[in-house]
Amino acid sequence: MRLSVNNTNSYLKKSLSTKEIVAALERTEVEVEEILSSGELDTRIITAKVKKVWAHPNADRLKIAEVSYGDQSAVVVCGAPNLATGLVVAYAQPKTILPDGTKIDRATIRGEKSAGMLCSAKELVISDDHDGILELDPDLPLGISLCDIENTGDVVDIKTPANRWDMMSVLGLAREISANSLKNEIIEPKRSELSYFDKKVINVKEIGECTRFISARLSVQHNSQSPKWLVDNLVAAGMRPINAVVDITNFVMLETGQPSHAYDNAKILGNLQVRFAKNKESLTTLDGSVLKLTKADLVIADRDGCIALAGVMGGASTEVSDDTSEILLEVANFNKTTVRRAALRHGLRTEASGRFEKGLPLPLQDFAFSRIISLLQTICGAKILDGPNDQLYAWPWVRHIGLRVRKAERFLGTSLDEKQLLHGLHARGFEAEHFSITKEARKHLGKPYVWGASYKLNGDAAFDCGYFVDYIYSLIGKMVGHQCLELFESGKEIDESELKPGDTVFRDGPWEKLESKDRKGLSHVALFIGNGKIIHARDTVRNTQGEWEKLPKDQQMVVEESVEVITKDPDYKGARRYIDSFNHTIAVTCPWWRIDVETEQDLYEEAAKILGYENLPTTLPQLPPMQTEPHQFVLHMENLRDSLVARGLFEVMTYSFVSKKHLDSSALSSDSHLRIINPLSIEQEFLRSSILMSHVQVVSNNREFWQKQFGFFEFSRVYMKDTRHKDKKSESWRLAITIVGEDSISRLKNVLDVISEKYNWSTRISKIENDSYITGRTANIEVDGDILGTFGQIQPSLLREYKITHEVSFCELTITEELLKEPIILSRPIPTYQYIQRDYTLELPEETYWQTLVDALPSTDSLVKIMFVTEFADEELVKNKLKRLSFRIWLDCGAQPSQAAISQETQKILTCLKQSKSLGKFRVC
Amino acid sequence: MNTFKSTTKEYVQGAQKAFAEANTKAELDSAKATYLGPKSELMSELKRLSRVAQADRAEIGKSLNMVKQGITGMYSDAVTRLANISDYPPIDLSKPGISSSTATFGHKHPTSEILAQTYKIFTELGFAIVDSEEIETDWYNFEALNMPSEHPAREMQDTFYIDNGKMNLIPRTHTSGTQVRFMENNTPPFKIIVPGRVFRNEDEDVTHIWSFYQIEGLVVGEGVSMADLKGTLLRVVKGLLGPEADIRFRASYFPYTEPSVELDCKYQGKWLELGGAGMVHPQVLRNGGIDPDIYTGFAFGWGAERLANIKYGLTDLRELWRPRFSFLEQF
Repeated sequence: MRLSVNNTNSYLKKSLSTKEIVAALERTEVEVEEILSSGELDTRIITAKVKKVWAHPNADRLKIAEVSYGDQSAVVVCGAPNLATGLVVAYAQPKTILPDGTKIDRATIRGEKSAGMLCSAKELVISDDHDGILELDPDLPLGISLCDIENTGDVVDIKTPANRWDMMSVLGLAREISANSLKNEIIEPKRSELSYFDKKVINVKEIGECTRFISARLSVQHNSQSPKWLVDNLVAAGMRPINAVVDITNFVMLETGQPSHAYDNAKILGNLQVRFAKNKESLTTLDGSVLKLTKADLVIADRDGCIALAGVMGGASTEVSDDTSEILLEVANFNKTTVRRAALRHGLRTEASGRFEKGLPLPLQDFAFSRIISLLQTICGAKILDGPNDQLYAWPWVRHIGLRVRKAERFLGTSLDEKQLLHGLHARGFEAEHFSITKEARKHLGKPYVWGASYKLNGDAAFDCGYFVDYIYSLIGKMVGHQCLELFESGKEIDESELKPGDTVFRDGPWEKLESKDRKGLSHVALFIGNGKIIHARDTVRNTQGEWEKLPKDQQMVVEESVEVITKDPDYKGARRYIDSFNHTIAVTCPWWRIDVETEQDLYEEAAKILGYENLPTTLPQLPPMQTEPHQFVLHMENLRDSLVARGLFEVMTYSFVSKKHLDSSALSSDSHLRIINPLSIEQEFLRSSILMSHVQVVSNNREFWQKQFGFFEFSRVYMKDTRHKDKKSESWRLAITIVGEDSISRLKNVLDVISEKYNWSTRISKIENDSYITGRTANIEVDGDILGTFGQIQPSLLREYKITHEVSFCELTITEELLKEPIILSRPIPTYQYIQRDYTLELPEETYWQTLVDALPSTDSLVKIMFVTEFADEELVKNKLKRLSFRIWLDCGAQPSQAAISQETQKILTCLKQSKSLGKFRVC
Repeated sequence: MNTFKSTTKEYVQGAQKAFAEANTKAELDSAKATYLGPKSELMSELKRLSRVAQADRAEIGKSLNMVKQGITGMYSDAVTRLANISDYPPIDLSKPGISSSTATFGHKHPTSEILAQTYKIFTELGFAIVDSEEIETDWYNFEALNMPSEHPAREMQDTFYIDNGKMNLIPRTHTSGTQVRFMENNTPPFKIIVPGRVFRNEDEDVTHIWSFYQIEGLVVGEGVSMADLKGTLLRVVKGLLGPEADIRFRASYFPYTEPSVELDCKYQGKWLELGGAGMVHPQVLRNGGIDPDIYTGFAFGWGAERLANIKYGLTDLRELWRPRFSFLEQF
């Protein structure tokens, strides 16, 4: 939203500089995005009149103009479509420096001399209008500097918060600015004094959707002109002037935040209705597009059909033109969600819908209405022919909140200056005063007793006993109940000896209505105010005989009496408390425009802003230790991450969403994947269940690294559809590692070995077949019987799809909190003697896994360590499908063992290997 | 001549079988010699073509060439197939791997580096680091945070929706969804941060990315104050950006905190927007089963990439998610 500084100042008693206004705005929720500074216009920019225009001989789109000012004239080349003889324009003489720093000089444009230029509004930072040259008032004197006449001043571009409808109005912003600048006040705009009728002139069929509709029929003068100040205002806000009536409604929307609409009354057929559209109804809007309406669209309709989409845009059929002599003015309150949905559905986010969708307060409509009428009267000579009619279908509640200063201080963590706080609240339009329940109750002494009195019917003019207590508590936003029984049950039971001001005392009494079971014998409540006194609204007393007696009408009222009237009564029923302390409680009444303030906590925010966040101290929370289990998983992943980096790997992050092509390449079915309904592009349509293809892509994109041996890894969650529950899904953490270059699979395996060792996993490898990997070079990795994932060397055919000509191996492990736990280490003392070391070479079938051999070794205490040494196969061995495998073992045979003892141990090992069924036949070399 | 013509079909079938069954380079070479080599029947026939009667020559030549083309195709298919296996014989994957020859350190991702520093500072302050799911329900991501459907504040976070019929699953738009999840299962006091990927349906440019890491903080306990929020964030920002760094709050609006503030940090003399913060809205506490009359809390959040941007002076945030090693090498 664009806020003109000059315009803002017209609502402030004390004008502020742009800097001061920005400073004040920065203390609010408004975000200042940009300051469009008018700067000081170069005095060389002057007014001039276009005398003559002719075509440029060498350029179709350019023209040449002769402009004159005083007794001088100049010839300039100009490309503006609106250039015409007789216009008064802004002429930048040679050597002018434009606000954006451009220097204008004599130039030759396509062979024609040009002495300076004619400026557009945008070039002068007057508005965004760049469609043509700026057309000035034709009556202006010529040859004077533009500085002297054009002074729209700076414009501040701001972003307003979603919860503040009022900040989408200049007045609302002016209120905030005044509250945040010293000793300033708002100047309320002039409004007409109106008295409203409540005639149902509009047939509002949907009162839930349209809670208020103020309308009037007015005569207006033909061809009324919007005054310059009004046009300037609209232009500064980025709106286009149309005609006086429309300009006024738009201006008041900018000023107050209330959108409104004027219909050409002559074009309305019959009475208006507010209803939902019927299917297949349509509406041609002011901008000429035809909307196909549905039952979800709230519309204003006449006898012939829809004439406006409520809160969004008016229709062309009843558009106000220069010839309009009679208008129907609508200022209404529409349901925010309905307006928002309609605007979204039809792709019509208008200035009006943007305001309605925040939710507008009910008192705003008559506020804006009377302002529009005042302007229509002044500018268009409008006269009310019929109305104004105010159709109100909801109750304009006023919100009261009790602000407990001590609680606010604890909440904010600082002490508050109550004087400053009250002052700040007043400046923001809140009514606020220290709450004394005694003082408040006494204000109403003598007011009449009316049985069944309520806020809606009686306000604070009359009470019954329950409503009296209810009313007093409502001033601090406390809902205690309205009926005696509610009041009795919502309070905390106390003894009459504990009574403090604010407590209530109850008794039974004459009960005119039928006895009701849930009455609990309660008919009267009184408010205790201290010093043994109560204040209550009463119509009955006990006479000297102890019998109930109705008082004469003029004595039925709010009175102050001794508490004993209740507590010593034979029908005394007890006492109740609602609030432990009223100390430092401020009764706050919210201004009607602050519908965002709903709770006490909202007032803490006001208190914080009044204090200023820069004055908030900095402390650390003083809390006892956490009561929850420690969360270590993220830190454990961190630890593994560091280990992988230490192994020379790059860490990458790749998008979690992938294309269908990725799924197809890795032979995954897109049906088994979660799909995004509204993806940014087809590249990001599916949620990945594997990281494989993302990493192939990374390899593909880093061609210059292929010559190096390198590898990289990523931690990421992957996502799976829950095939049984359509509305559910599952996620798991994965660690993906990719190794590129020669021996990629063995180098990858090395990384897995290192990880395995780090966490002391008992890892097992099992051969598998997988379309994405080369057969014989892929396997599953298992820990404690759970498959952690697959690793393997990627099929060259798959890599070729991504133009990769080097070896790539990949693994993807599902990692869990359990797996990454720090291993429990029990150390083993290193003996003072040497272990016996033996090397063996076995000739085995070529497909024998090292793991099978390890499994076949005996698990005796004496076998301390096993180490793979090498594997070998010459042509001869290959021919016979054999290989030789060398390994080393360390045996603990005690200190200085005899040869016999050693050989006994080694023999045991060989016997064990020979007996192993899984190992099969082998030869010891 | 007629003899070959009558056996062409068998010849082609034979070639097909031989190439399909070739499992080693040697077998493939022998099949090639038999069916396409200079001494093959086909080649002999082609050589003989010159001696064929002029009238028949064109027709016979055409048919022989078609046979040759077909068999050449079979051969190249077999070459492709064997390329995948023959160069890479099976390997015993249970034996120890080979350590890479490079003796240099790798490179941690800059975002990870920022996260690691963040974890360190928060753990020093006694925070727990909580992991949380990235696909969230509409309830936790929005509704429980005072953003019912149609709430205009939802527009602050453009959302992806997952096609699961009900439209109630979304890739989380922020880590704040974890607030209510965590509250439901834990009793105050607690101090946590929740790091993780979040997703926004926004067009990318050099300063905006649609997928990024966010760090969410949540502290709930008796007497937790807004000054505690400011103190905690000051401590953290100094920890991350150095002792010269400073912070400031600017009033703001988020539906799930009240009061809400924007958090700016001052780094190398310049004020930069970092994230959002505020006191947990009482309704959000209630949604998490916590009594707001007893407990208060604060929450905050920012993007790790934004911090990386501030700290490392990145010129294009998209680099973080489209890995190029020549870029990542710098960290």
